[in-house]
This record gives sequence, C-alpha cells and structure tokens, in this order.
Amino acid sequence: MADSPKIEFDHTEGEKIPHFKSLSGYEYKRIYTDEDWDKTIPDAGEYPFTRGIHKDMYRGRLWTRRQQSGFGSPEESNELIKFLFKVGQTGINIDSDIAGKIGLDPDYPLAQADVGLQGTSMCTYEDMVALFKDVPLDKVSSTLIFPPPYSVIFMGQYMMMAKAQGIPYENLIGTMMNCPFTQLVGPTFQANTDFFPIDLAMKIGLDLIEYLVRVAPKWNVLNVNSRNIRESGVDAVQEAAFALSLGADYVNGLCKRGINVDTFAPRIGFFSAVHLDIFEEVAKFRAMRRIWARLLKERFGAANEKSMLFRCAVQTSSITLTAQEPLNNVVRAAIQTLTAILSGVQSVHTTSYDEAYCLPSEETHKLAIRTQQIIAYETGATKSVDPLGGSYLVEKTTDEMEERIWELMKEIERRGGFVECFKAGWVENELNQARYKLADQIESAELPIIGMNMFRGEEKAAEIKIFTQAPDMQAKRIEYAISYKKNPNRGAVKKALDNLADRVKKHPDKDLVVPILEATEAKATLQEISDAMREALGWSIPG
Amino acid sequence: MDTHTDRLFAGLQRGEKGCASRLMSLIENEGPEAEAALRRLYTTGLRALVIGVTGWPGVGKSSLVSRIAKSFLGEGKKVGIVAVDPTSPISGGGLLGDRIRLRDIEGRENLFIRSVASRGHHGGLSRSARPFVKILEAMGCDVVLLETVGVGQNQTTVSLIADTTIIVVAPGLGDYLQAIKSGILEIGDIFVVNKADRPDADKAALDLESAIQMREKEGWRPTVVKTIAIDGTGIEDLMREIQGHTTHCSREKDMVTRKISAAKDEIREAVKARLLNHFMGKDGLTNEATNRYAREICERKTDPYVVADIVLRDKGIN
Amino acid sequence: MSVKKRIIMAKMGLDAHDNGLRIVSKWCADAGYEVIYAGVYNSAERILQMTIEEDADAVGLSFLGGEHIHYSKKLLELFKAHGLENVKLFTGGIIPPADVAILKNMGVDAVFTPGSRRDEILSGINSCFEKRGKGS
Repeated sequence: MADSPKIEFDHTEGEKIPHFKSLSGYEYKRIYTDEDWDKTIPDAGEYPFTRGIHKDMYRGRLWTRRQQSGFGSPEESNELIKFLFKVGQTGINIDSDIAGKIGLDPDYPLAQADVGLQGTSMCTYEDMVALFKDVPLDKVSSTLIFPPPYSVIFMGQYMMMAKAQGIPYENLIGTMMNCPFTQLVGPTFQANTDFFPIDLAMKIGLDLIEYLVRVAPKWNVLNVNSRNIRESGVDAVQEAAFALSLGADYVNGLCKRGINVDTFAPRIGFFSAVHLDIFEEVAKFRAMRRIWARLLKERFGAANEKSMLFRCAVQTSSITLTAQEPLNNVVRAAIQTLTAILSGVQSVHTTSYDEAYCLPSEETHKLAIRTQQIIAYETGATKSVDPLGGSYLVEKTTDEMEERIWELMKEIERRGGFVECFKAGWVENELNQARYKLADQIESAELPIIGMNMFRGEEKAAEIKIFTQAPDMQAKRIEYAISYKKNPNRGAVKKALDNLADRVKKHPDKDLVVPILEATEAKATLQEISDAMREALGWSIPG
Repeated sequence: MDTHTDRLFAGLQRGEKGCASRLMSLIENEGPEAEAALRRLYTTGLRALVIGVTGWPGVGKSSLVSRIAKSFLGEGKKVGIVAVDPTSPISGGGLLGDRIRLRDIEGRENLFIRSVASRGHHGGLSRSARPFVKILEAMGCDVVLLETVGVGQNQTTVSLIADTTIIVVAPGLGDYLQAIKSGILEIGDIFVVNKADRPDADKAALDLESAIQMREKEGWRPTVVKTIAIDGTGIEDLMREIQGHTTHCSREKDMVTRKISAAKDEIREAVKARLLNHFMGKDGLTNEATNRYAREICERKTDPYVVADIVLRDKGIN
Repeated sequence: MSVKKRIIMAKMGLDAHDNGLRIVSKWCADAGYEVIYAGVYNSAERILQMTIEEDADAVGLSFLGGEHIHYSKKLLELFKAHGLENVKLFTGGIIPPADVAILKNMGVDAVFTPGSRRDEILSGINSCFEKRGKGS
C-alpha cells in the first residue's frame, strides 16, 4: 500500500502566470525603457491634466470618502449615514432602491417585493427629509443617484428641504447623477427604456442642467456613469470611450441650446469602475483626463480651464469580487482603491467584501472606509502628486490607451454619437459580446480569479454574517405609500399634476422642470408625478 | 386512438391553452402518437386568417407582429402567434428570443404565443410550423401570425402556409436589394419597409415598388408600406392592406390555386417524410452505412446516385 | 424522436441585473436545450402563462436583491394551483447559503450560488430532469 502523500502540491517550481495581456488585450512588454517613452509632460493642474486635475491633488485635499449607502426606510438609512460619518466617511452617496430610480412608489405591484432591498425606499418629500435628518446641507456634499426625469423630482425635494432649513440654493454642494442611459442598477438597457421614453428623459435631464446652473451654481449637474456598463464585461477601452462619447453628447446637446459651454461644463463629472489590472486602470484614467480636456477645448471651445477637468468618482469593481473565500475581496478592494488613488480620482466608494452575498453591513462598510484611511494616512501614496508619472510603463501605456480609446470614440462618432449607438442597439451588441467573452475567460481561467477558478478550496459555504433587514420593512413602506396617497387634503396635487400632464402633452419641447417642481412642491409622490407624464404620453410600463 | 390525445383534442376545441400547448409538444417531439394527432388536425374544422411575417434579422419583425396582433386584439379577435427561431446546428439547442420582443401584448387572455425552434430541419423553418398553425386554428383563433427569419427557402414555405405573406425589410441593412434579386417578389403579398425614419427608407420603398411594377402578374398587385413599428407609424396603412388582401382573396380564384399549391406541397412533404423514414429510418440505411458512403463520396470513389440506387435495390425496388 | 427540454429563463420583479441570466441561457442553449428567454420585469402570473403556452419543462430564475424566497414561493404556489407541479424550478444568483435549504424545502429543484461554474450548473440542471418525484 502506497503512503498517502503528506504534503499536497498545487504548484512548485517554475510557476508562471498564464499570459502577459491586460484585460483589454494590451500586451505588456518584458520591460519598458526610455525607448518606449522619453517625452515630458505638463504639471498636474495644467492642460491637458494628465498628471491630475489639481496642482496639489491629495496634498491639498484628500479625495472624498463617499460610500454608497441606503437600505429599507429613510429613517434606517439616515442612521447608517450617521454611522458612516462617525467612522470617517466625508461625503454622502444616496442609493435608493430600484423603485426610486425608475419612478415607482412602493405600492406598485411589480415593485412590492423589491422595496428597500437594494437601497433606500423613498418617494415623498417627507422621506427625503427623514433621510437627511441632522445633515448640514451646506457643509456636506451629497451625491444623489437618480436618472431623469426622476432626478428633477428628487432635486425638487432636496431644494424644498434646503429652503425649509433656510439654506440658500447658492450654497448647496453635491451632485445629481442625472444620466438616463447607464446609471440604472443592473446594466441592462431595457431597464433604461421601459419606464419612460429615453429621448424625453434626456431632454428633461438637459432642462434640469439649465435650471440648476442658474439657481445652484455650486451643484454638480451630471455624472456620466460608465461603471454599470463596465461591470457587465466591457473592457477598459470600451468603458472609457463610451463614457467620454456620452459626455460629449451631453455637452453637445447643451451647446445646441445656445448655452455657453463654460457655464455648465465645470459642473459635469464622471463615475467609473476601477478594476484589478493596476497599470491598465491608471493609464485609463490618465488617458481619459487628456481626452476630455482636449475635447472640451478643441471641439467645444471651452475657455475656462475648469470646464476641461475630468472630475471622476469611482467605485471599486464588484464583478471581480467572489462568493468563494470572501475575505479575499478585502485584498482586492484595497488594491483597487490604491489603484484609484494612484490614478488621481476625486472620490471613492470601496466595495465591501460581502458584495456577493448582501448589502454591506456596518462592519463591512467600516472596513471599506478604514481601507481608504489607511491608504490616505499610512502609505505615503498621497504625499506626492502623481507618483507613477514618468514611469516608462505608465506613460507608454497611457499613450496606447489614449490611442485605442480615441479610435473607438471616432467609430462611435461615425455612427452618430453614443446616444444614437445606444438607440440603434449597437451598444447593447457590444455589451452582449463582452459579457459572453468575459464568462468564457472566467470559465477557462484565462482571467484568473483566486479561490474561484484557481486555487479553489474545499466547497463549504463561507461563514459570513449576512446583512438582513427588518422583516416588516416592506409592509410598512407599502402601507405608508398607500395611506399617503389616500389623504384627502391633497387638493393642490391634482391641479399641479393636471398642469404637468397638459404641458407634457402639448409642449414637451418647452421647459418641463418648472411644472415638475410645482408638482413636487404640491407634495405629489414620485410615481404620481411620473405617471402623470407617462399617461400624457400614452406610455405604458411593465407591470 | 390514444385516449390522451382524445382528451387533448377535446380540450383544444374548448379553447384550452394548456391542451393546445401540450398537443404542440406531442407533435414537435415526433413520438408515436404524433402522426395520428397530426392527421387528425387536417380534418378538424375552423379556419383562421394566417399571416406570415418574414424578413432578415434586425428588421423589426417582432415589433411589427406585436403591432398587428395588438390591432386585431383591439377588434376583439383571438390571436395566435407562432414565432420561429433557428436551432443551432452544432448544439441542437436554441435561444428563442422572439417572445421577449412581444412583451407589451403578452399576457392577454385572447392571445397565445408559442416559441418554436427549427430543430435543424432543412431550410430552417420548423416542420412544426404548419401543424402549430392548425392547432391554433382549431383552438379558435381568428388570426394566426407566423413569424420567421426569412432566408431563401424559408420564405417560400411561409407563403405556402400563410394566406397573406408580409416581407419586412429595413433600410441600411442592404437586404432589400437581396430581396429583389432573390425572387421574393414572387411570393410577397405586402412589403413593409420598417424603420422608415432611417435616411434610405424612401429609396428602399421606391426600389421595391419599381421592381414590383416590372413583375408580370395578374391579380393582386403587392404594395409597399412604410412603417416605424416601435411607435406605430404606418400600422394603420398596413392593417388596411392586410384587409385589402383578405378581401381580394375571398373573391379571387387564384386563392384557390394557391391553396391547391399549398396542399400539393404538403403531399410532397408527407411522401418525402415517409420515403426518408422507410429508406433511411431505423429499418433502412444505417448511420454507419450512410457515413461510409459519405466518406466514399468525399474520396471521389462513388456518387450519391449510386448510393440511392443501392438503397432502393436493397428494399426491392429497381 | 426529437425530444428537447424547454426551459424558460426569467427574472421577476424589478431587479434588472440580467448578466447571469443571459450567460446561463446561452450555456443552456449551447448544451442542447431550447431556451425561451423571458428577460426582466416578469410577474408570477406572466411566467405562469408562458409556462402553459410554451409547455415548458422547467423555469430558471435569477435573483440579486434578496427577493428569491418571496418570488419562488409565489411561483410554486401558482404552479400547484394550475396542475403544473411537474415543471422543474431552479434558481441562481445572490442567494445566501442559509436560504438554499429553505428554497429546496419549498420545492425548488436546484439552487446555484455565485461562483458556480458552467459545468456545475449544466449538470445540476440535467439532474433536475433525471430526478423522479414531482412527476416526470
């Protein structure tokens, strides 16, 4: 009888990684030298901002620690916000549940089972007030993740709240995402187009931008979201090209209205993913900064340098995180966060390690924030601006990424711009090809994922505390919505809704922000306002 | 007769969706009771208006079918849709995605949608398409829409099954030129240029119209309708053309000729199926033998006609 | 004989993360199944109608937000009420380990949690069909 081996080997001498390509297919050379790159580049804070959009970057001010948060009722979400600030968050990022993002109240039949599960359930002015209880709106910046037309409603509620607290709109700081194409939870285009006609949604988004730059000059009016597309499998080049092209479409749409680019461009930002291929990601961000600056200056004639800045918020990638050995995700998220810092972004959400299981718990949120604090204070990565600048590899890769991104942008331009590509189904095609390709790469371990397709341990369920919600949360929210709408003292609501419907039916080309805000002020709910518009358009929604 | 099939037919004639559906599976799975069930369909009464909608992928067939169905449903009619998607020749499986494009009409009481895979049958059109249409007629549908990807042979088969054949093209996909060249003009009763908001829509319509003019044909002159299926533009015109064709057919003798042609085609198909089964089914030429002959043909040692002679001789036919 | 197993692949409720659904649908089609792709935003009633009209052998559901028990229960109840107990049900997506047993006890035939590889999923689905009980 042979002895059973006393030691099991998975790899011994001669272990090598399977290949030297980046996720997007970029082949890394053996070593980079001055033969690959020997130019000089301008300082940070100088056009075209390759090294950073500010001269001092994190020496002047650290990035914002801005964790997306929200679950269940507005009251519970408010508690969570307070907890996050206690452990060191520095900005708010409101994540509503799906119903909130697509203009549905909790009592809508198709919505009921999803209420409060993926974010805060919110539909009334009082909900907004409860969510922001005790938050000083002029001292803390908040990002609100809503697409148009709902962005107008929630902005309206936010401003009502500010007014009630005596805070002038001019002092409001924060961001309304306001992008109808790519920001919906779940990177599927059906989600973007089933609940409201996309053209009118975009138009209302532009109306909102026009309105806000006048009344709330410190408020950021648009975040072009490329993260959701990236998280379905497209590569870094596609992510960058799609985001920049969509941004260009917005700028173009606003310029066509006769608005000077310098009035709104300083208030546009981006929201990206950051993945694990460190140098490809760093190069991506640097290339995006360069391309955006050039676009604004050369194509749109921006005169103010602030218009040319590629302001970027990131969330570390979710699809790279595993259910197997979830603690591995702490390592992944930490490296991705460091990558984001080395790339010079403006705000970061570090994804929690329980991502493959549930919404983040307080513990996992706290660890995410600690990750950012450790990088900020302990590593020295923030002590000098653009520490990777001048590296032969980084600069050469930046140039390569820029070229590839620009090629794809030209292709998109040739096809009529991102919005047209979206409507023609081209973007969906690219997405579908990418997702299957990525699935194959994961299956074959061409994309190694430790613990999942390589070095996979025994199959026992990970012991991990799952975040759970109050069992009656949904019932309470549904009941709240129903009784709110049954309240007899809502005469002003009907009048405002009729007025809105009338405008949408007869003059959708005129400004729609004011009538939506009037309905918001009359305390109509999210779905009441949305349905008034839908009915005026004869638009039926799934249900 | 199998009692199970009896029960299914009884339910079918009462309009029960579950029975119609299970009967479809019975026939599609080609089991022992399938042929008996199939034959019974030929003598089960009721007729529906059968409309074939065919065209290349991406032209918007499903959106169009959805609009047409909606229109008939609005008139209180019972509508059935048979949506045929190709089966992968490699895996033998299929991803049937037409149904999801019909979602805004789905779920109505008076509507029945069935997704069908071609299951590798020659030409791509499912052998089940005809029986399925008959089942829906027997169930009580007033209108049956047969949607399929139109590639060559497919479209001819559709025109044999349908009373009205609609060929859908879209500008910018280049295929309307193919349509003109490939003889489609002979079988289309109505031509739709969908996505008519695209720049070359007018040109596509004109090209089709002039090609139609050049056809020598008596009787129904096919028309070209421009539509934008996703927002409903042109659908009223299309419905009018469909009505026009239906009225024409009820009056004209050439409809009978078409039906005779269709029935002749069915005879040929039935005979072919019998022959293939007899000569190359389980009691006929074995798989290994077929493979062996096929290899010899590839090695240029023999030809298919010699093989056919051998096969016939083996069964005692000279 | 030309018997193929027909599977409806769907998401229910509002969650629209359909990446997993699309990929598993393709894997199943490549493996020889006929997959009726129902996409997102389906109610239980709609899936019931589809199951009847398509004479489906199985329904596959994908979940992300925590709504898996609610919707699986609803669908199983509808199937029972309409004599469709023979139809197999399997689910996948973000499902915590503790809920797997709950789902199986309810009558779900297979549950696939994140990180399940293709072969695992396909053989899991295969065995659903080979299993006896709940009719065949």
